Amino acid sequence: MLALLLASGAGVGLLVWHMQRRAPVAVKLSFARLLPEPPISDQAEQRFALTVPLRSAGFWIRMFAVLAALAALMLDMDRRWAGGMGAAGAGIGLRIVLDVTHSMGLPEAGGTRLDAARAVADAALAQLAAASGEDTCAEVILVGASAGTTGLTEAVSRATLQPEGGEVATLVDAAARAEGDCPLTHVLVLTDARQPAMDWPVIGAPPDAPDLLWHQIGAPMPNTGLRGVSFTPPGLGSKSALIRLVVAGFGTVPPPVVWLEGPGGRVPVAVHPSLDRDQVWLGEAKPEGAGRYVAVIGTGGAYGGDDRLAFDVPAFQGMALDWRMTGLSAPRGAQAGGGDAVLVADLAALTPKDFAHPLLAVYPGWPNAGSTGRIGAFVQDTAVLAALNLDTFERLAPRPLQGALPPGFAPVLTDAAGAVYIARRATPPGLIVPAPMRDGAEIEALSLTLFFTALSDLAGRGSVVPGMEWLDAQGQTIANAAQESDTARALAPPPALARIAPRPRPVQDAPVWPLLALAALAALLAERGLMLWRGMRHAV
Amino acid sequence: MTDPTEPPLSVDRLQKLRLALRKTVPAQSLGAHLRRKQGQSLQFRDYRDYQRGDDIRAVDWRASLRRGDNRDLIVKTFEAEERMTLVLVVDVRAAMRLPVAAPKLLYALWSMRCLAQVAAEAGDDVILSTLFGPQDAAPRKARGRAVPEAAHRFAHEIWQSVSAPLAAEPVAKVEALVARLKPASAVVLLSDLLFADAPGAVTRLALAAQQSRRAFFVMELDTLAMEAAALGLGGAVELGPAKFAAAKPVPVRLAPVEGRDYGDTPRLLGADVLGGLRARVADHHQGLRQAWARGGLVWPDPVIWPQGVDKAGMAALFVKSFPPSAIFRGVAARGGL
Repeated sequence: MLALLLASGAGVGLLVWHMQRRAPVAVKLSFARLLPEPPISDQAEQRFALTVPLRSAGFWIRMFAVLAALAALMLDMDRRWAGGMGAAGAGIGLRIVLDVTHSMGLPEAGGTRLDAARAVADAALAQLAAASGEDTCAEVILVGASAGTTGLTEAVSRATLQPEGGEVATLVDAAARAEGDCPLTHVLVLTDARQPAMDWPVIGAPPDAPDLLWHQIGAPMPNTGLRGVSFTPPGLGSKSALIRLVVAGFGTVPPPVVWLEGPGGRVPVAVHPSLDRDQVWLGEAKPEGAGRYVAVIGTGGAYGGDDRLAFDVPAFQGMALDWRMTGLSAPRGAQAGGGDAVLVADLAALTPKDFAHPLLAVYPGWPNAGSTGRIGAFVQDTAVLAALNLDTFERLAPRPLQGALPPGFAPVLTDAAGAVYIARRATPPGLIVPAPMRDGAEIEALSLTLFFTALSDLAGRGSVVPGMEWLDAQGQTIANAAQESDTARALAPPPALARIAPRPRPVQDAPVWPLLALAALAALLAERGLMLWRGMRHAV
Repeated sequence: MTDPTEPPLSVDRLQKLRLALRKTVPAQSLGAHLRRKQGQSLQFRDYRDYQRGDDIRAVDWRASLRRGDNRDLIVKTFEAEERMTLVLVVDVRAAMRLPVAAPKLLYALWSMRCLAQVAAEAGDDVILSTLFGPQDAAPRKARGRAVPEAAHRFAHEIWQSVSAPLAAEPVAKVEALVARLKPASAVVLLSDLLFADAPGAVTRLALAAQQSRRAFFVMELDTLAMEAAALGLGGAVELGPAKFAAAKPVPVRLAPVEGRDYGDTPRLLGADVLGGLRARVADHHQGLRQAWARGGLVWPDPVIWPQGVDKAGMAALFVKSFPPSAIFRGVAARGGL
């Protein structure tokens, strides 16, 4: 509707412009210098008057431009075409998706997996060239951690390994990408990854979608690699700081031998098999302070990019608490006082000044004889609620907090009536929970779990994943090298390149409006050219 | 793309006309400049009385004695061997590009190129110059077979150049041209003769061109009737979008021309104003004629633009009016000057 109004306005404006009388132009007479003084006209000049524009070429050109622009805005029409195809409508449009991630550098048949992939690509292109009587086109997409832009086939020979890992999903996305001038009939994926179980053609693709040839490169080779690391600072009680390593094996590999190089020198890491995952080993080591550490696998297997994992351990110290609880002693290892210490106290005993500190406040929720509380609304506060059995909590529900929440606190867990059981403040961090009760039974377990979970969260005692950086033997950083570790995957039989044969090309729908807009622009250009030409003719 | 300055008369046609005219037209009838100039050759021409400034060596003492002591000395004159020079001067004022449908300047350039072609075939020198243009101070000279190409290039440059504004008063610089006038020269001025010659520059040129028995030709291009008729023809000739009616005066904004500005106020142009124009133009031409009149002035009837003519019509006018013109006949008949 807006387009119609705009076009109508333009058309009316054009008509008005044409149906007016121009301001008189000064007449040029070569003898004007010698004219007797002509009398001044006292007739009123008419600015607008009806004129017939039908003899004006400029009018018709402008009208055409307006109509073409209107049609471009209004018409929702596509034209179908089979781009570039021959008379028979068949041809070969080949897209080569080439994996250039780091594991493609593994040795293969006297070269590398990338060299082997190049050979397959060359064979496919040669087959394309052999179909000289057909209409053919080809394009290449290089895929590392992300898919590159669509390029010419020369990109195959210029492709180089990228120091990064990649995901199979990126290869699939590149294979299914809808772009480029080459109407695709075949997609050849060259990678050392197995073809995932997936829908092909992709959901929503036309029935004449291209034929997918997933050519896996590289014989299986056993490998062991470092998958990840986490750091846990000293916790409650006497628990010390800890570095945990995860090592994965692929194929038939012996238990890994892992070393940790850090500020304290090179120390062996004790590893043990994971209880719930095959071919996975877990290792633990105590850090010798903050600094840069490098975990090294002694026998890493075929792929060397995942054998060295560097990470930084932040400065850590014991928990600092300002403990004002009565009837409950501070946990062992806690350090007293300090500006950043977490204040642990009864909510009723706090002064306004105390609220400026990190705070864990308790209120008398238990005992709650004849508890009939029901949990109402709560927010997904994983740090506090993850360790809590809400069914048990509902059964043994404490009395909710009486009175209004202190400024800055928001409810985390409430009862059905909206009264608050647990509340949290973001800055400075703070939590309000029911005070622990020592009854030697369920309530004690429940209340202590809730209390110490809240305390641990406020003290920031959870495990963290330090920034991980995989290094190869030369010290070069390999981004996400763990994604390249599985070099032992079974080799699928290669697809027959003979499948790259002429087949009907996809018919594409192209919108008409660009052509109409182009026609409108061409008309405007022609009109300007006509006016310029006339202006030159009339110039003195 | 066709060169608009290419004359409607072909070279072959010009050559045929020249050959025909050489057989039929008596050279003597066209003025003193067409006679062979007296000079310092060995071919005896005539006797005449001694005049101050004559070379004393030319006195025929024997013949003088025969006339008696109380008579003037008699000198012998000889045929000149000096190469003749045709000077072609084109008025390039902005007004010469009017009327737009059939510009006078184009007719002048066609004439210039035809005259140059004829002079070239006779082996004469040709000097090309503008009047009221930025190139006034740099006349160009060419000789023999180089003349047609020089005239072509000269005409093309003039036609492609941007004229001074029509409103500006044109200024003529003739000193350089006067300095290059040779004794055996003929000067042809191609113009509408509507310019103001208050400083007298064109008059200086006219007088210098007639010194020493030389000649000054004037080709007058008259578009008054055509332009005036166009005002009453309702736009048959393009003079802007205003419509003119013959029956009654119509309001017209007049563009300033050569120093005369009518302002933005519409003026009434009618038969009375246009009628007075003709008289003023006649007075103006009479004044020029009186100022220029010496023994060598040749100012034939003007070339008059028909009503409603366009460029094609102007070409037809040229084909019809140029060959019989006095200037062309004079140049062509002698195969030189």
